[in-house]
Amino acid sequence: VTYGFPVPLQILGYLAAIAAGLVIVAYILKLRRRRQEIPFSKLWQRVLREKDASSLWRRLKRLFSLLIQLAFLALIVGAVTDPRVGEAVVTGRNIVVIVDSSASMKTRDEGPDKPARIERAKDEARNLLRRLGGADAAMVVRMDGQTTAMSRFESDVPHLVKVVDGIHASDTPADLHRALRAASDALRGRKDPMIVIIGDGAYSPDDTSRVSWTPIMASAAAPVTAAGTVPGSAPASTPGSAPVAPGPAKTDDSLGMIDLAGVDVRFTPVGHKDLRNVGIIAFNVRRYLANKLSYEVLVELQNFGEKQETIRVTLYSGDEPVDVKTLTIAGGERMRQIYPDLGGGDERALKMKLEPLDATTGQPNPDVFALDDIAHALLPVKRRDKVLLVTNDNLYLEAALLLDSNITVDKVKPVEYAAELTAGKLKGYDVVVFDSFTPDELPPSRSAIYFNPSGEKSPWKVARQIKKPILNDVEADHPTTRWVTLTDVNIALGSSFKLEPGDVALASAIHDPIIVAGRRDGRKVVAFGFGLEGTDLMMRVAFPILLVNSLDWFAGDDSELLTTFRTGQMWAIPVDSTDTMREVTVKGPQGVTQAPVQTGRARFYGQHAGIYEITTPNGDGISVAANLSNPAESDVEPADTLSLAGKQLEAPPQFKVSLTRSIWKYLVLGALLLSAIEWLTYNRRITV
Amino acid sequence: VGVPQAKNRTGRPVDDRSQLFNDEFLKKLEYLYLVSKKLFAGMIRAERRTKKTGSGIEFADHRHYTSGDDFRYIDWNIYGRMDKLLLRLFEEEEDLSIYLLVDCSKSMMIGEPVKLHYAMKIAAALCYVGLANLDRVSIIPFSDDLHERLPPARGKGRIFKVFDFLRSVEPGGITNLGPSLTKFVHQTKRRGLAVVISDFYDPTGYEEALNVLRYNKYEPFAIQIYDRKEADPPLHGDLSLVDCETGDLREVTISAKLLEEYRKEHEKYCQELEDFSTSRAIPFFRTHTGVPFDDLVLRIFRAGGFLK
Repeated sequence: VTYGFPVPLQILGYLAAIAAGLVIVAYILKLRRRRQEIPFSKLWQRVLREKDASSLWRRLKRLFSLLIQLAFLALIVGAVTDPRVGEAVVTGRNIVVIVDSSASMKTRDEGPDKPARIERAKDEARNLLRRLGGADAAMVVRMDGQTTAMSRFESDVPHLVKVVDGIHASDTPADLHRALRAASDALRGRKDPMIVIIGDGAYSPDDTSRVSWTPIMASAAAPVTAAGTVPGSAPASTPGSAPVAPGPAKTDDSLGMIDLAGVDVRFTPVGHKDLRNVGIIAFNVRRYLANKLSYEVLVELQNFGEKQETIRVTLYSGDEPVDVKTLTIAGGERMRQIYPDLGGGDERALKMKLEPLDATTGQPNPDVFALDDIAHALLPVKRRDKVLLVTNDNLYLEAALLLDSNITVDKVKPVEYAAELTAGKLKGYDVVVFDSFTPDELPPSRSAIYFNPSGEKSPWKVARQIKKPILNDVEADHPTTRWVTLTDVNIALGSSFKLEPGDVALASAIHDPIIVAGRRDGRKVVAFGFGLEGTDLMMRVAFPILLVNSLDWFAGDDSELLTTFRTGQMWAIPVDSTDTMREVTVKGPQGVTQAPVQTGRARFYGQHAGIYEITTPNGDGISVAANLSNPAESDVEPADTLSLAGKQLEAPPQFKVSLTRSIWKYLVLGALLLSAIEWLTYNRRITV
Repeated sequence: VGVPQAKNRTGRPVDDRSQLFNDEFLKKLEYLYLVSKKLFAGMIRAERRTKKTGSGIEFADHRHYTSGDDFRYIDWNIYGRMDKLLLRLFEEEEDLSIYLLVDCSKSMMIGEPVKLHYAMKIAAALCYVGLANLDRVSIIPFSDDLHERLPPARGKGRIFKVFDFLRSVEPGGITNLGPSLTKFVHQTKRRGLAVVISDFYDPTGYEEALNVLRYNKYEPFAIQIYDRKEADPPLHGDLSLVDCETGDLREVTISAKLLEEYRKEHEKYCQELEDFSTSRAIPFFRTHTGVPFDDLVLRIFRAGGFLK
């Protein structure tokens, strides 16, 4: 028995003794009777003669009255101490209830107007929690792409049920591995651990296999020889030795395993069978490299049902339908559709809508899973840059820039540059290209390209001059030098730049950065450590590509930039960040949040499908689209059973109702009952 | 245990006898007397006829002849017809003595109104009628012994002395009928009507006392007075019951069942008294203090025996 009363029991004992004394005094006082004169006691004697015979019983009855009062006091004092019985006898279980709230739980098994599968899972969870014993403690965990502990371990069933009420399905796929790891960590060191998974069982085989039912640390504790055997361990063939199933050794593989040794894992399936669902499992768009005004769209569809379905697929640009197709897709078929040479309009947002149709009437006949019937994509930004060329008529340079039809080029001579700048005529340019000229300050444009910068005003300090450097190391991952080969470029004299933090050496001659990129005062700058007059670079194919890449990088028009993401992942979206930028504003389908920026990328978890607009403090913006695009989630057919590492999980047991209840209510009830008995018997003159 | 001092609601002692015998009371007595006159018509020497057989002229009864009897009273006619010797008995007429024995023990001081006052009113009424009938009326208060008595008197004019006497009676003592009445019998030579006005709450019993009167040729009347709260006490809770006379203490917790048993017991006690009296031809009247005293007196007159 434990007591929840905050005051020490000894003090309470003293108080109880005082109260008992008062009760006894009150009882004795009660026994002092009122005097009443009567004219003739003989009559009373006659009446009481019979009663006198049972005077012992009468005395006992009086004693009984006192005992009732003392018992009443004892019950009240007992109730005040808030005793809880049974904990020493019955050990409660520690249960982690994992409620699957992944995208597939949005499936409406029974019809489009009926509750989603998640509601059924919540019902199961609530039923389970209500069956808990008093000593059991449960923790509710929400499982989707992330794992969220919705409560701590507690026995307050109404609160746990309330927690379950607050669970909603997200648009992310289920990550069972992560959820099991969290549950296993939460249960570590607790008695009678149990995990109950409530879901549709549609989990990836990778998640269900990376589980160990034998202790990982125990087997890993023993040193492992090169041969993989544990020294001193008896061979399995030794007579009389019980074969011990070795757990996975603590190798790289075992690090990814979840130790569920000793944990009772149960599974409650939810969902109906034989469902029909056709979903978009991939949807993306890209501009043509050569013609950025045109784009093509890829869409991939899959019929997850067993029967053939007729579907209408509509492609929208903004809210305008661009293309409508009616397709027939066989059961289990995966179909890929490409929409080439689309263009026109300024709308960047594309939407693909899939409508299952009734084969006979042609009327819409929705499937059970609506989330994968709509997909979003965004066209990369189409920009027309203004470029200012500060040069003494370099034909190669001008020609290379003129190759790109999306830019307009103006030209100014280096001697006129300062005057033009002072006159304010150089505003409005996106990029300024300095050909062997270094101005006193960075240009007013958003970005700049320097060829052979020199002097104190150079954005990069020149460490040393190198004769005939050979560019042997090209940073192929940077947008500027992508698809560019510079290894056999001849350079008469090259400057090796001193890099500053955040700078990137795009091309180096044995650790001497010759072509560099970086940010100066928030502007993107690319610098070539040589003049165009002393190199054959401009004769090469790489030169215009370098320039176009640079302009694209400046414009943030990264052809590699993914504008379509999958939900349930941590997104790292490149933003035009500065060193001081710490976070950006993300406006998504569920509202506005802040996301941190690390190494030029905004990172946040994509939980819902739809369009996200990311805005930097500078006012620059970038938009991305998010879709479920997960065939495993779109396959909403539930599993009847779930196996983890070859072990099939059973249904949760019927929980025993243990005695670990707080019994003060019963004590108070008993006291009330005693009081009622005392009142009744007193008024009926039984106990007096 | 002290003497219970009955008090009224204002806290004033109720043994206030100053207004007990006022003019109103006197008028009622006169009325009772007039009523009594209609009830009997004997106007001889005294106005009362005794059951005593003797030398009167009115035939009373026959009895068997025994040797030594006066031959003159043998009924020869009967002898002639039935061949049996029977003696003719005649009622003897004389002025009658009426003894009003009033219980003034402590138990008579209980009740609302106090039983003693009620008893005094009855005694006064009977006394008045007796005086008016020229009977010799005497009042003897008693408890465990005889108190100072009112000597025999005759004539209505004595009634004020009676009132004064009754006002001066000191209550007290325990009820003990036997020795008191025995003493009364011994002290009183002249036989007559002995009206015992009491609650008859005698722990030693009333039978012997009434028998003593009977055996000594008195004509006893028994008038039992009780308070209604004695028959049906409004008691409840835990009580120490104290006998106002003996001081006996008895702890009791009153329950409905107990009260019911007590009521039955009280009724049984009274009934036993009545049965005892009637079976012995003792006129018996039971009343509670709620009944107007003149009603009771009329009842006594109508029952007969007192007036003729």
